[in-house]
Amino acid sequence: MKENRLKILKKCAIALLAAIVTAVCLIPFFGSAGKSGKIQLVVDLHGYTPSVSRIPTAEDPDVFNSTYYIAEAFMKENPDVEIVWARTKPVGGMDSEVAQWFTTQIAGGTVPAVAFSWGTRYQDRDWYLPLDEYLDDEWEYGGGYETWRDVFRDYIWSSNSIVNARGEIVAIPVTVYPGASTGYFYNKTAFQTAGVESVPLTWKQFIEATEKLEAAGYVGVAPWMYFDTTTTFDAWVFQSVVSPSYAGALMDVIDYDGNGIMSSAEQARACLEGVFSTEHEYTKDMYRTLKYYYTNMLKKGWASIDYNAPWLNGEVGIREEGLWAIPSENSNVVRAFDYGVFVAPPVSTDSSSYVNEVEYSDGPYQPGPDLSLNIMKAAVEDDPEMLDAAVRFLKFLTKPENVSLICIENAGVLGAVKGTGHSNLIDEFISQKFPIKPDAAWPAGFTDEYGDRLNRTFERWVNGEIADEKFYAQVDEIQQKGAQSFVKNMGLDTSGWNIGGAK
Amino acid sequence: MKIKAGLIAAIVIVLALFGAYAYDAVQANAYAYELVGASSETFVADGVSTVRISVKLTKNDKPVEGHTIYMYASNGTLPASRCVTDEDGVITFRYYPYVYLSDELTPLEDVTIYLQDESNSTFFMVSAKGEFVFPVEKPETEEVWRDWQGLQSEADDDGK
Repeated sequence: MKENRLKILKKCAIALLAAIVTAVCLIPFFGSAGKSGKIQLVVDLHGYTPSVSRIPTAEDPDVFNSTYYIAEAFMKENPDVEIVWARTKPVGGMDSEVAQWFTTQIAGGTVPAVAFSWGTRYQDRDWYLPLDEYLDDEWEYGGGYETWRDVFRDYIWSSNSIVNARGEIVAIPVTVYPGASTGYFYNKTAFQTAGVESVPLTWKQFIEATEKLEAAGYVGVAPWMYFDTTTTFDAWVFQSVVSPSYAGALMDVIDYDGNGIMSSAEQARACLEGVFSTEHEYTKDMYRTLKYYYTNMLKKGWASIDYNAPWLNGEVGIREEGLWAIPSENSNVVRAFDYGVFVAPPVSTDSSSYVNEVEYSDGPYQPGPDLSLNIMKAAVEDDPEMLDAAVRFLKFLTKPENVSLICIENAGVLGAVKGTGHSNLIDEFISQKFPIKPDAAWPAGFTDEYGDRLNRTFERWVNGEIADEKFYAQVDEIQQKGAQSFVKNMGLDTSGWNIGGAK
Repeated sequence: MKIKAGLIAAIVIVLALFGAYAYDAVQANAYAYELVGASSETFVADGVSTVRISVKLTKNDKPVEGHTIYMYASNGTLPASRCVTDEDGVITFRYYPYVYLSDELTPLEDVTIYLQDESNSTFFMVSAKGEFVFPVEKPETEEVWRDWQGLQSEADDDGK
């Protein structure tokens, strides 16, 4: 009897605890709404969300305040709106993890109205509100711009990270990468010792540089170690080096509307029409080029090597790294050599007959969006006040002075709107020559599911678990099925497409 | 008996730890930071100026070489957060001020640069600390920054 009572008490206590935890978790979304009577605009700025602490301390020196100040100023100008920061998102999480978070938030009715999701990354899930009509609104913040659209850099509206496969603008760009999001950090002493006279401008020169470094006893190239356990097809070398070169050479075929840009719909169409099939020698060459990086250029067992100590000891010639690592590299007092950073060199005609010669620009050439924000349908559907508040906030956020504030504090990005400042920290980097990459990309599975399958299949091929012909057959099937799934999810009109026909 | 011995051992350990901490704390107090120079005495909150600051670390009035100094600022950017003192005990580092836009959005505030010696302790990390406050003034013009696409055009013009 006593035991039963204890059990009941225990259950009640657990239920009570669960109720309290749930209530506390929901406070940001519902609690203040009732009290203030204002529109509770939940905003997710991902890595640009203001830090909880405003004042840096020795233990927590990295505060981020600019978006806090901007939100405060916005709320002063718009007293009917209260910004609530979405702080539960797994910032730094992989695609699938973030997708899961959004799915949960949508199901629970707590998805942020303004959110970051890499622009169009989840476009096939139909989460984003098309924003074209709002971009034609009159611009009320001066600067000589007529519409909101005019404030942004003109080239940005052709980015596949902003425009979905239906041609709708679904993301508002705020910042762009400083020419590239990643680069190669190199040991200047190692370059001198190994006789590498200048930074490589083509992939062939890059390979030769790594060979010279290896011959001189250095690690030629160390991969970025975040994805430290797998060989990933859709990683940086594919995205920056291989994909734009090989896809760019096909522009005459895949740019169906002739506007100089390969849209994601054109990419899907080209795939379904067999343009990216391994029946073409150029496709095999593309896959082989990427495989060579993992099998010949990286050290055996690279996935289990920690390159941090060898880099600090001056044993690594080139290190694959994100540009966000510049401040920490500058602060490194253990490193006894000077380092530099160069942009990933694309594949050019000196290593493949299937690509075009690389041309260079002075400074970043049409860099892609870093922070771009969506309005999530689920948060604003049937709620015109919420939608209005979200649009007002995005307009306010993209005022050039506000974007400058963000760029200068972040220190590693440039403004997506015209007339914006940036940090001195990246001045040297953006003064380099940057490859002029075509607006084209080789497909990487099209959807999360097929992208994952492609990664796994590629890894098995690289590890020698499957032969070339089997890999080619499997990869063709994955790309085809991925394209089909994408077309279906996006509801694209395929009439006029020569699906199944040979190119 | 065993309990008594254990208690004595515990007290000895606690006293030893306390003594070690006190030793490091006293040692830390023997260090001092001196502002050797700054390329500008007043910072302009334009987000684009560069200020070079030199600070000297001494112990009992003698320069300290080879100590790693950790730095952070109350506002603005330090491109590097660690420097090592040279033979004169000096570190020289850059600072990029924050941006002033308006009194409401980004109120003008003095900038404090904090310094902590990461090498002065023997047992516990009891850093020798220092801080320097710099006054900040508004930029003369509202928009002093140069747009990055403008920089590209300048490079093109130079090429011509």
